[in-house]
Amino acid sequence: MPQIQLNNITKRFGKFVAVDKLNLVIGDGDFVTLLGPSGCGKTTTLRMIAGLETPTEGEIYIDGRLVFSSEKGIDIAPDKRDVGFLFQNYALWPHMTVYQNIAFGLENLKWPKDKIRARVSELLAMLKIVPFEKRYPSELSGGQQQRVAIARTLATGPKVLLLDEPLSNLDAKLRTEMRAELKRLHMETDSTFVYVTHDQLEAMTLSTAICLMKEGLLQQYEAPMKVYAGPSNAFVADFVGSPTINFVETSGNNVNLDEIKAEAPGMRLLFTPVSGSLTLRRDHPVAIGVRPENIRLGEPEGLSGRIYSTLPSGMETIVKIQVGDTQLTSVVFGSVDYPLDSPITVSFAGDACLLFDRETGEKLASGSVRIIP
Amino acid sequence: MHRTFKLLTALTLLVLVGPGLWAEPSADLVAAAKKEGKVVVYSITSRIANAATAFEKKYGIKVEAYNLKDGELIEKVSREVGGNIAGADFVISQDSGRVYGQLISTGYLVNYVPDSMKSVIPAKYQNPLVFQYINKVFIFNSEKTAKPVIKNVWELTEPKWKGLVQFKDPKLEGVNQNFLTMLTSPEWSAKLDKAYQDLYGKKLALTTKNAGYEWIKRFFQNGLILGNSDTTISENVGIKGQPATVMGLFVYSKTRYDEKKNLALTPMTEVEPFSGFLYPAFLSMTKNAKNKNAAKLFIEYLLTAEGFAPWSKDVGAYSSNPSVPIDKDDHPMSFWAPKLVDEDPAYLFQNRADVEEFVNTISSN
Amino acid sequence: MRTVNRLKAFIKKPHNIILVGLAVILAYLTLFPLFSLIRDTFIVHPSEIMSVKGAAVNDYTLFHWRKVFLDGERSAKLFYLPLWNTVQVSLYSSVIAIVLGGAVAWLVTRSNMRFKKFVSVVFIFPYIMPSWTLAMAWLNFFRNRLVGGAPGLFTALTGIATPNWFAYGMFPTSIVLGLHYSPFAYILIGGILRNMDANLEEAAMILKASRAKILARINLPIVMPAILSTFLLVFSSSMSAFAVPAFLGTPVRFQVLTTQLYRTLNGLNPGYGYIMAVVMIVIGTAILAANQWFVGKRKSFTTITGKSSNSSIVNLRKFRTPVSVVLLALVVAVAILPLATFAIESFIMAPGDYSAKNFTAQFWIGEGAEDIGGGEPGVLRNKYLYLALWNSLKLSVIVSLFAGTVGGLAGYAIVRGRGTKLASFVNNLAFFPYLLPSMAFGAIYLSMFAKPTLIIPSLYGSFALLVLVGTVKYLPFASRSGINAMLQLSGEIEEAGVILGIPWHKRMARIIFPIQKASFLSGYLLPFISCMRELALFVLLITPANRVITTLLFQYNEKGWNQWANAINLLIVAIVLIFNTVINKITGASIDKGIGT
Repeated sequence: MPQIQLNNITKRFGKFVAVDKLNLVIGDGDFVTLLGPSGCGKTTTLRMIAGLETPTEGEIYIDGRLVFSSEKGIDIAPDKRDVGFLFQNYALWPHMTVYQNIAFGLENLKWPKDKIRARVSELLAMLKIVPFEKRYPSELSGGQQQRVAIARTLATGPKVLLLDEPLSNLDAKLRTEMRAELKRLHMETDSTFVYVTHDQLEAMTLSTAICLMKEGLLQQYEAPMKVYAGPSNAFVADFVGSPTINFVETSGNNVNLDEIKAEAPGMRLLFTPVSGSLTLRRDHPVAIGVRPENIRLGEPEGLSGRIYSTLPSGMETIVKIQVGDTQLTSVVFGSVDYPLDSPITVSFAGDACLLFDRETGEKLASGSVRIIP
Repeated sequence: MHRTFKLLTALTLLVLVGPGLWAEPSADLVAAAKKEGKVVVYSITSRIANAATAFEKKYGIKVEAYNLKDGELIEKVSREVGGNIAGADFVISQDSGRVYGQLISTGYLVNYVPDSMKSVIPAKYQNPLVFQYINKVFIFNSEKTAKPVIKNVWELTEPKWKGLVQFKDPKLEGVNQNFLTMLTSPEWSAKLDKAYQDLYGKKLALTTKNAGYEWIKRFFQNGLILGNSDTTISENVGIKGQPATVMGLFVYSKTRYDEKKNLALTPMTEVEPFSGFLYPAFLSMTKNAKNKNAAKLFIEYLLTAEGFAPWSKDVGAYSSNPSVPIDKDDHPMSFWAPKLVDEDPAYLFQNRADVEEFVNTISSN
Repeated sequence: MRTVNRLKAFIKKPHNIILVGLAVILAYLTLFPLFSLIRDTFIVHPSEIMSVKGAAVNDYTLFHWRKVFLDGERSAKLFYLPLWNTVQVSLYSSVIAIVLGGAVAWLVTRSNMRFKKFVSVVFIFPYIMPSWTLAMAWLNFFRNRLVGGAPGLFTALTGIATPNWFAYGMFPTSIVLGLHYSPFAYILIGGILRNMDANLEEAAMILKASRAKILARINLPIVMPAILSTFLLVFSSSMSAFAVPAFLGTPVRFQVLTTQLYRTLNGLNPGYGYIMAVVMIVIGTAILAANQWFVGKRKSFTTITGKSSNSSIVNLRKFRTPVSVVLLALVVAVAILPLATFAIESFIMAPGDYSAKNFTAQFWIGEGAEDIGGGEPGVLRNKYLYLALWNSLKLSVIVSLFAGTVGGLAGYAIVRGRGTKLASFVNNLAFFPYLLPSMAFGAIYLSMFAKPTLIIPSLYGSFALLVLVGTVKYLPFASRSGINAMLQLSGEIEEAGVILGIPWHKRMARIIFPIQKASFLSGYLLPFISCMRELALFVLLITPANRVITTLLFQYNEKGWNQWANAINLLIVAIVLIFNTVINKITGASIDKGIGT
């Protein structure tokens, strides 16, 4: 079944290493997102799967077939890999009408005219672009162009669909709409999606698994919620989630067998791991990561801080609080408004707080944080 | 032997009585000319540059000498004088029909005969003043044979000469067009008619107006090669090592390149009814000449043996001043005149356009 | 009152003032001459009193029209046949230029060919060199015995005699013009290919289209507008080319409109020539109109720029080396070899003899010898050469200053006033001189300015006339550069200056010009180069005292003084190449920026 497997894939452009020894298995019917900041190698990876880019080293299997191997000198051309590709800027042919754009791939498969007609009509209807059939791309809006591009990619019914930041050129509202459409499409077409984006929200909402990359290196490859709750390092924790995770930079010392005492200006904290005990160096530089939703405001016995800024958006309110040298972000349900610079107490809830090694960025443990009075 | 002797006596005579034959320019003129200090001349002959150098050296008057094609010269002069724009002070022009029609009858060119020359130059060369005669003759590549290769111009219309004869494109030089025009005149067309009968012993069957037109048509249609310049033609004809003997009708003076350029060029002088053609170059002042005196002085100078030296030391140039010697290997005008087609300005003015059109019709592909 | 206010608002904008000024001046310098030209087709000129029997100068007559169009075989020989030849030559050379230039453009931008850098620099040379240099080189190589004399190098080496159709006439004329103008195609098509989003090809590739199909269905249609503009440029340029058909056509009496134009304008019937000029302008305008209609129909392929990456480079695989070598050989043969032959020919005494003893520096540094070329001194000792060279440089610099500045301002005003009728009128006027064949343009100015017109005194014979005709003729290059420069610049950049109250001249000098320096300077470079190597435009207007280097060269060529001609040719090419390279290195201006749209 259309399973995609990357073994030790490396891509170098001159001295620059775009992708470094990447190993990845994408299961049949998965919706995998390649996520990361720009320049992390995600688009290069996608293009290597499609065959548009030639890896420097490694092997790629699609559907059990070896399509690339640097050792065996195999490099199957893109048109023989049975993949669909959706480009970031849609790459619609400006000199062809919508109909011609969608029909082009079918023509190449030597479909009879009437069957092409039927298939294109089906897609036009499916993507709600029937009225634009005879128009040229330059006469369409961005969203309409996007739909045409999707229709063109789907026309030949590829079992693997590669999407390169398809929503990045759309405005926020359209993007949300198209997200839903893409998710349905994934279900309806029953194919494997590999999706490149730098938008963590897109990755979180759409995919069955996120592959997070940084500077060509795989950081974490897991289901979105696992990545969110259990990031493998500070980078992942920081990249995923909105508003971003809070880091309290401290130095930690083992106390009371398995607890860790962490101190920073204006706060003295005690971290209790739930994932097992760990041993730290004396005054080990660590950071405690707390998701904004786990920061509680106004409870007794909290740290004392001041309101830095309040950002209500109706459904929820983001509150920024200054505690000593640290600025913390909290999300509160509903609309609340605090006067600027008013005092407030801050406490940490739940046992999903994270402890990171500040030197390596590695996650050391997850657990709960208490405040030492 | 006889010729050498004649030349020698002429030369001796010249040396002995030379200065007495014509007076020196007046001191007044020289002074006035020197005051102007400069003179501009347009000329159809490139050797004006050498004369200019000599003149500059002799009088210390700066010369700007420009060598132009005949049609170009006529156009420039008529525009410059017509628009009263400073240009040439005097010109050496050719192409009688156009010079008469466009420059002399309009008064753009002013005739000036130096006093010292009035008794020297024959009256028929004085209005307009002729500077020199130039001849273009049939010249062949004499590498294989020194014997003239044709006796009659009608031979050039035969297959044996197909593609082997060169002639400067008449579109590029008025005098060539004049020559063709003159052939259609009653006089020359009659001579051509007769030459045909002499050669073939039968009457010429006409497909055109007269024998002149007929010869032009057959001459052109026998693969005549039209060249861009007589210099190139002289090289193309004269270069050694060619498989076939080739010939051309071009300026006789080009045979002067023989030695330096390693060419084999020999002229033919006994072709029926003509061995080539002859045309005058006129020496005239412009109506709006700025440096009138310097122009007059230069004109006078050019009419002397000294001034004509750049031309007379080679064949193919004949001063209107009969006492100016010609090259030792050349024949005098009296030899050439009956053998060559001369220009008749009146006939040319009337008929040139028709013949030009005719030539254009038969000559382009 | 409202009208007054609107007028005030109109005048307040600097670009409107420029547009109005240009509209008036350009109409006077391009449209008025056109009427003057048309009038010239109906009157008797001084040299025509021989042909138009019984007429006086300046009489009105239909003689010329009748002769050119309705005189049976004579009209055929005079006009129809040369017209047909012209159309064929222009078509063939356009096809050659597009195919060759397009192929090189594709190879350089889209394949992994070797020697890219060298090829892309040297391929432009034929355009920088005077067009007839290639014609002369062709004759040096392929001359046969038709014209007698020594055969060309090709025959000398191989023993094969070249047939006439190969050595002279339509075939070599088309090839030489095609080669000369293929840099147009290279620059225009290459520009589009370079900016074309590689994804467009990749999308097709993934949809299983073959290489050939991608080329035919994706690349070609997208570069079609560039191909059409190339066609427009090459066709009208070939149509107005004079020197090439003059050199290659004469031996077989192959006539095109320009050679007929030159002959008639310099000969007895300028009236014929003026009619031919009108015909050429009509053809040029028709092609432009067709081009605009076609491009307009397909509208904007504009936003086809995007990121392209290495992946779009086509691997030529086993053809890589052969293709690269062939192209390299071609470029060397077309751009470098001619120069070598000129160098050799300029040192040879007797023609066709390449033995060592026949070499001489006479034609470079010798004093005039009586028995060679009538005592003309070698080019480096020739005061007339220095005069002509000085004239050429002076003329080219002044013309490029005028054309570049006016063109830059025109570009600014046209872009700022985009969408208004006035702007498109000025745009068309500024491009119009391109469609006027150079020689016809020279002829118009000759007839117009030989006498005082309106407020302008008679300019014939003056340097100012050459400057004027050069400026107007090369304005299209400069205004195109200006338009390109302005289109790439967002209006907000200037508006930021407006808000800060910076006066217009300062905005131009301190903001707009510096940002798009390279593009604007290209608008100066192209007129300079074109002017340095222009012949047809000036050949009728030059008076002996203000002769330029190209007309001097042409004169030597016509006289058959090949050694001097070759030496001068080499000098011109060297000067132009040096200027081009230096200006390019210092300022980043390049001729592709001027041609590119």
